[in-house]
Amino acid sequence: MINEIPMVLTIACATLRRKWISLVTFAVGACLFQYLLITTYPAIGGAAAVNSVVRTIPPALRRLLKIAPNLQASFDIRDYIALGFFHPVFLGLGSAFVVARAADALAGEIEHGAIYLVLSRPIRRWVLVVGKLLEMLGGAGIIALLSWFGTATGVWTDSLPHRIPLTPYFLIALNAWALFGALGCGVFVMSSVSHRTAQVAGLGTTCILLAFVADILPATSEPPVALFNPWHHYDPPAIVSTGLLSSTSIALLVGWIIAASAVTIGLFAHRDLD
Amino acid sequence: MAMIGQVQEVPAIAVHNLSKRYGNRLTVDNLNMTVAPGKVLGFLGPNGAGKTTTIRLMMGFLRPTVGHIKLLGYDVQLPKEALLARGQLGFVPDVAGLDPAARGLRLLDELARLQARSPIDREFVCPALELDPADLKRPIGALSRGTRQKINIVQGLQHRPALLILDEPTEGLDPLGKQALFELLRAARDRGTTIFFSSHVLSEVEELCDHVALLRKGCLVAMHHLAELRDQLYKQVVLRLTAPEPSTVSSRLAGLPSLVDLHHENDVWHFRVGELQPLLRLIAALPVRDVTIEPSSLADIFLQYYRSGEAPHDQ
Repeated sequence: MINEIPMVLTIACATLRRKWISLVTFAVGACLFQYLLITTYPAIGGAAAVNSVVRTIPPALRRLLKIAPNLQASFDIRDYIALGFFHPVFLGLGSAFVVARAADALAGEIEHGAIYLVLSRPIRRWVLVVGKLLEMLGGAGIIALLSWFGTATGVWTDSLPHRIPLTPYFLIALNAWALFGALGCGVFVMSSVSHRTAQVAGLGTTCILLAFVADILPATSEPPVALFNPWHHYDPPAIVSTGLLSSTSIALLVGWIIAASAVTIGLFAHRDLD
Repeated sequence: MAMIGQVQEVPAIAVHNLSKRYGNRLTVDNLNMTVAPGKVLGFLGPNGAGKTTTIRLMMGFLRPTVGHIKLLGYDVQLPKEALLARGQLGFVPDVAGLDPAARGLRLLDELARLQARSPIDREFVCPALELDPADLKRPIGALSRGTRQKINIVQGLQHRPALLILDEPTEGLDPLGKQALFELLRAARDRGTTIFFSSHVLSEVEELCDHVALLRKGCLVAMHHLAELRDQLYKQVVLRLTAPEPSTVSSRLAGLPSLVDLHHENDVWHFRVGELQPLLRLIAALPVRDVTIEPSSLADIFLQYYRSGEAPHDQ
């Protein structure tokens, strides 16, 4: 297996080399979004305006944004920045990236015929899967890291009313990386049994949205069902309020990544490539 | 078992009882063939005959419903042996799906790295195909279809494989490109490479291959040396007689075994015949002014097999 690591890296690097423009687009988009969110804080009226808006948010929407009722009174710039990591723009960018990568990695390669060039070489199928997974996970990591960098740049360059510690946002970025990784690996499972990119992308997006909604509905947002939902383990407001990233959440997200990767490898190894 | 060449050493390709079923549809039906090392086999069949499915089974992309395939002595269904086989294999797929964002040279390097063999022949394959070095540095999406196909061919040949499997490799090539490819394949054959050349273009197979396998509806209907196949099949005969009596000549010709398509205009008789000896005996007894006997072209052979679904001598 160790002998095959160079092959895995060759596939990961080759994929990254061909798709770096889209990765840069997603990552710079996420970075700019977080930066602009902070720099527009004074323009929208600062803490008073944000608090007044938060008070008007109905309980159901507060649940959607993971704003706990007891945070409402003390909702400040730190919570506002954390909300940027739960904003649909950021989540949409990260999710779209992993869905696109996962759908193209296996189903897309079969659909276009490129897979026949790679798998006619003396490499095992899992090498291809792991190479593609690595590229996706690396890309998701870069998006999360640049999001934090956008936040940090905004905090450094803007005259904010408080000194903002950046460590919690780094932990949020790590949490986001694990979340996107878990979502992407879930779509990889679908990609491993299909040969239609659009079909996998559509189904993957639908499943991600359904999982997001399931984490809001009372019936499915509590353990044990919620333990299997990656969204349940992503909670930026909680990280800001405690300053800690739950090791359980990270362990479950990493467990999701490993399990989904193993399922993908198993399914892809035994399927017909046509 | 269909066999070409004297298979005393390990066959380059050995297919045993191979079938592939999709639901109720049998795409490949009990295929058996053996190809000795160093032979060039043309794998012929109309669209939908099962050529690409057979190749994908050979490459391990598909799993057989039943049967076994050995390439270069390695069982492609056993993962470790499949790796050993693919290490010595060159494959030119029909749809290469080259990534439009990739650059040709880098793609060839990546594939050579995955092959774990040096691309020793790239230096002469690229010029032979008149592949412009500048084109290899451009994104593949910016290249013409023919140039993309040349890159597809280079990736299959660049590491000097012992067995070369090509699926419709001339698609998109101009006549010069086709000739260049054939010269490369002949050079590879002369070095001892076994070539499995799938095509539906009969003239290409006729030009390149010494053996042909004919596939119809997933079944192997014939596998022979091309010359043997011609000998077995009908010859086109044009017979000019000096003083013909149509009714007499017709009845005497009709008595020949394996004679078909008999018709005449004045003193010229046209027909096709499978066995020559009875014809030659009959001609000796007729007032013949001129006779032309032509072997069947591969196109004739192809049509004879596929029109009726049976070999001519079975008719």
